[in-house]
Amino acid sequence: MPPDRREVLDYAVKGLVLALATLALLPVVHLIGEAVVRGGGVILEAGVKFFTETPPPPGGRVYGILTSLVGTLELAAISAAIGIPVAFMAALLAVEFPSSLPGRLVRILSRTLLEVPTVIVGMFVFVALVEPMGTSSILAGAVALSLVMLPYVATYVESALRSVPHSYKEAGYAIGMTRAQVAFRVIVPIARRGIATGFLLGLAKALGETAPLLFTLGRARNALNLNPLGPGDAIPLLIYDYAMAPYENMREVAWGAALVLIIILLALQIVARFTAKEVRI
Amino acid sequence: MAEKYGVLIEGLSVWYGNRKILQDINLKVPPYSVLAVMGPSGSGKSTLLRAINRLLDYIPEARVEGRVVVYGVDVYNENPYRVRRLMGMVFQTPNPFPHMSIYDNVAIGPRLHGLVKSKEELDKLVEWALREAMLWEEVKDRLDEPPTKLSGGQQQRLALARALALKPRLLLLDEPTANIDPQNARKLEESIRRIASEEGITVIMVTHTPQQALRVSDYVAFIYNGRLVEFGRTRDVALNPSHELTAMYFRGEI
Repeated sequence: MPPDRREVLDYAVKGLVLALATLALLPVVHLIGEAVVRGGGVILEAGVKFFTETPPPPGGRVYGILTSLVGTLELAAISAAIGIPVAFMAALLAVEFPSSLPGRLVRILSRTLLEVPTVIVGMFVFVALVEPMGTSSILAGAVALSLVMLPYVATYVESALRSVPHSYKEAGYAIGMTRAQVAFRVIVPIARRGIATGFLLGLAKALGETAPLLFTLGRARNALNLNPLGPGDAIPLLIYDYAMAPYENMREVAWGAALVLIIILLALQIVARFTAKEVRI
Repeated sequence: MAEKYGVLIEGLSVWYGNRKILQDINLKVPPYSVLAVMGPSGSGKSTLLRAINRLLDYIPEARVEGRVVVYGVDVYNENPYRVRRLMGMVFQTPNPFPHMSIYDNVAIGPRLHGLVKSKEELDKLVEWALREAMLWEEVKDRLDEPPTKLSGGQQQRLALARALALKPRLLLLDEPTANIDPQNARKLEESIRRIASEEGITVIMVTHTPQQALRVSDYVAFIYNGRLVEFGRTRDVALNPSHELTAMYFRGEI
């Protein structure tokens, strides 16, 4: 008996889907694999010193990424502290009062901000903060990053809040909850998983950025500075400067730094999974 | 009770934008009775319930005219949160809060409004509400579990317990048995009957099934296209409808 036409078609389509999916995954696997192999080799060779020493001058041996790593962590903390609360409240406003003027404004602004090239965010912060303060600083870099994460976090949180079925809000109102009580005791806790994911995806997006930091952070990588009002460094900036450097040792540091950045961003995802338990509806 | 009516509705009209959903509704529901609100889909039954407890406040395009008085409280001239404390509501789809335990779902109302002074008092109130909803025996050993582990029918009875825990004077039920199985529907009906007669709560229940109205209600209001077509004692309306539309509905023709 000849094979059924539909069966053949079924196999063909399945094969096509599989092939295309593999094609889509290939760059990701290659990207991470390359960073793991190249960066991992560098880190293993340098050992602990990769994290305790400052980045190297041209030529010579491989030094560490201490100042860039500390700078990225500091930027993460400060930019999250600024960006996340603002984005969260903006999203809540947009969801709870969608037709009010502030609610509409928030939506329009966050959509617009999403489209603004991050290098322009960097220029804006340069004019608004760096020039008046007379110096690049970790704070200025963090403000730029918080502006980058703001629309992402707001959009993610907004869609998480919106996904809570209306019937739960009505249940809250029906037992005499106020609008704020419904928001904070019903909607937010039910959407907590999506909200936390939004926070972390936004943060991850910002931490991987280079452009907003170009004119704001200062690339102070030879000595450790913890003061947020002074200049600092960040891993993406280090990679940007070192990856194209004509010196072997600098390019190796860039590969190691790339792996560290990927690990930090992956860690954020894993933390998100474990901190917020999903509410099953 | 001094009040003559559990619920008094005078000249109630509701618009959604330009669309008139309810037109000049007048109803007098005696206290401690069960009123069944009937009518085809889209006739405005759910809107009537949401006009009584002012859930329409949260629908931006909704506009309400007329008067609703619940046990002497003029609903639209009073703080809405205080108004809703007087009444509980159970919705068409079971909606216990999925992020809270079974216990907390019942306890949240009393906690919110400071109805109880101590943990013991709260425990007692939660048990009472769950017993009234005929759910206690099924959940007493699993009060810490999330409500999502319960069946749909159990969840609906939990929603009833949540409403009862506020010790409401009026209970609004929006087709509470529409989405649950017959056994659970039976239990819910039994609770409703007993709540009205023994706890002195007035009940307004939207229902689609004439049989359910006959089993549960004292009065029937038949609504068609936003207008009140007929109101009377359930038996009278069912056996002897005075309006052709009502008769057609009871025969299952509209």
